[in-house]
Amino acid sequence: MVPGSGHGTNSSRILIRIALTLLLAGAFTALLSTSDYSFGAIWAYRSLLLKGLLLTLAATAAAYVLGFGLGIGVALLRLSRSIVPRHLGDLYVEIFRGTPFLVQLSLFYFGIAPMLGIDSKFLIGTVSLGLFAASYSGEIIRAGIESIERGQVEAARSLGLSRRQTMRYVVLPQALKRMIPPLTGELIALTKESSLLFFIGVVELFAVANQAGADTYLYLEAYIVAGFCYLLINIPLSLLSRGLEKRLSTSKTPGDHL
Amino acid sequence: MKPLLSLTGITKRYGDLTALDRVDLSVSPGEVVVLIGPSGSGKSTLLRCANALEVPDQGEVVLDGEVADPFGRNIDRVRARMGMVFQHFHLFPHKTVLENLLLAPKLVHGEDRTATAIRLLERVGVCEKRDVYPDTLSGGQKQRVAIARALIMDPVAMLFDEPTSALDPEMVGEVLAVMRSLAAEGMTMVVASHVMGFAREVAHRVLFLEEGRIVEAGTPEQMFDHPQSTRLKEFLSVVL
Ligand SMILES: Nc1ncnc2c1ncn2[C@@H]1O[C@H](COP(=O)(O)OP(=O)(O)OP(=O)(O)O)[C@@H](O)[C@H]1O
Ligand SMILES: [Mg+2]
Repeated sequence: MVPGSGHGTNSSRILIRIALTLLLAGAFTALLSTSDYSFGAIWAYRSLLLKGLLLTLAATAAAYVLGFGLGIGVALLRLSRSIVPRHLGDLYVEIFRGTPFLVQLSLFYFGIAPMLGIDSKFLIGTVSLGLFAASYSGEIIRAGIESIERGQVEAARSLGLSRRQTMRYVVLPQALKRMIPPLTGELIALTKESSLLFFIGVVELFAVANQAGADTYLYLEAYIVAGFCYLLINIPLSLLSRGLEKRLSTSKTPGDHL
Repeated sequence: MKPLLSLTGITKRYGDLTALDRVDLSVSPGEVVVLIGPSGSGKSTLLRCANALEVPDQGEVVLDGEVADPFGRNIDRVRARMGMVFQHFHLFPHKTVLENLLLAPKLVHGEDRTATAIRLLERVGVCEKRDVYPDTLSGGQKQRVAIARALIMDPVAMLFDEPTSALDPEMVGEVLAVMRSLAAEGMTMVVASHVMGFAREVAHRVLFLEEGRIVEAGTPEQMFDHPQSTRLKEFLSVVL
């Protein structure tokens, strides 16, 4: 009822989470420093690692946007009233969700990209990742739309709204709310998946870490740093998702303090 | 009198089940028709065929001279002229009460009908709730808002599918009161209802459906005081 009532407890919970994470990180670092790990040599790679991190962010963001756009198309196909588009949508989802991204990336890199004359590795990797992402966002969007009860559509149509208007003003606004948590989850998954672009030679975060490891023979240190960098991106995303989820699910529900 | 709403030879099947079997119904302007009958007799299906939420296998619906063809170009316009009130309200949860009313006139006619909306909300007695979201309303309030939302489109006829069946008993009266006043104003109404008292008091004509057919029809006095068919007699002995 009262907007922002559960707010104080919510943000304090987030603070506790952050504190716990820092504590864990501290303990881990302490543990590492007692044995003969040496992160000093990796420190020399900081600007390269930062570049890799930025490339990871860029590839993930671009792929996510592409995947979302295509995902809308996939969802519309799957929700179509005619059978042919519906099967095309099904086929897309089954293929891109049913095969490893690494296989898709390899086929795209070695098979399709040369045919199309694309040679930017970043572009190939990002587009491939976007195509992969579309199968997941497509399903999230479809499920979100289908989760809106039939009565909403009937009420809208009975008032004279067209199919399009019903979708735009009645179904989508409600569905979008429900899609936010799974779409954030997908963004997190995509960030991790983007490390596979290393395979075709995109110099993203993991590739840099791998190179640093190879140069210095400090593989474990390099991978630990890479892992922390991924956490650095994903923990805030995860917190954001939880926060949104909580806010969306408890908004206007009285008595959730009970 | 020329009928305002006429359904001719409506047949609707779900697989092997015939939900409606060549049903004819014509409703004169200002007439209140109440559909009664056991669960599964086809009351909802008939109402839903009337505004093409359901596509009949055979038959034709005509509203005020316009054919309501579910796949026709004019179907949105026909629907806009026929108000529908559902058992479970189906208010838009992401819109405030006032926005629930304003959405359709804005999209369908491009008109801002705020003044009318406020008048209608006053009329159904929920004006003080106009800026809240539907989930904070009681069932009776929700249904009254749903009626106002249908009325703001200026319908020539209203369809009600068991509008009080989902309500707590103490809220049934407030919704029926609104419907009674609509009937008194001359609104053309087709109502599926389990409330026999309402049918007796407000209906001009009562139809008894069973297994997708109109088994008996007549004035409330004929139907409730002198039922002819054994099926209607049995039905009334259970519900009255
Ligand atoms: N979408 C559907 N799919 C299959 N069968 C259906 C569907 N809708 C209705 N039916 C069937 O059609 C018949 C008529 O249903 P309808 O809902 O019109 O009955 P009703 O008179 O409104 O009943 P109630 O009083 O329970 O609301 C029932 O046997 C029902 O099971
Ligand atoms: Mg029914």
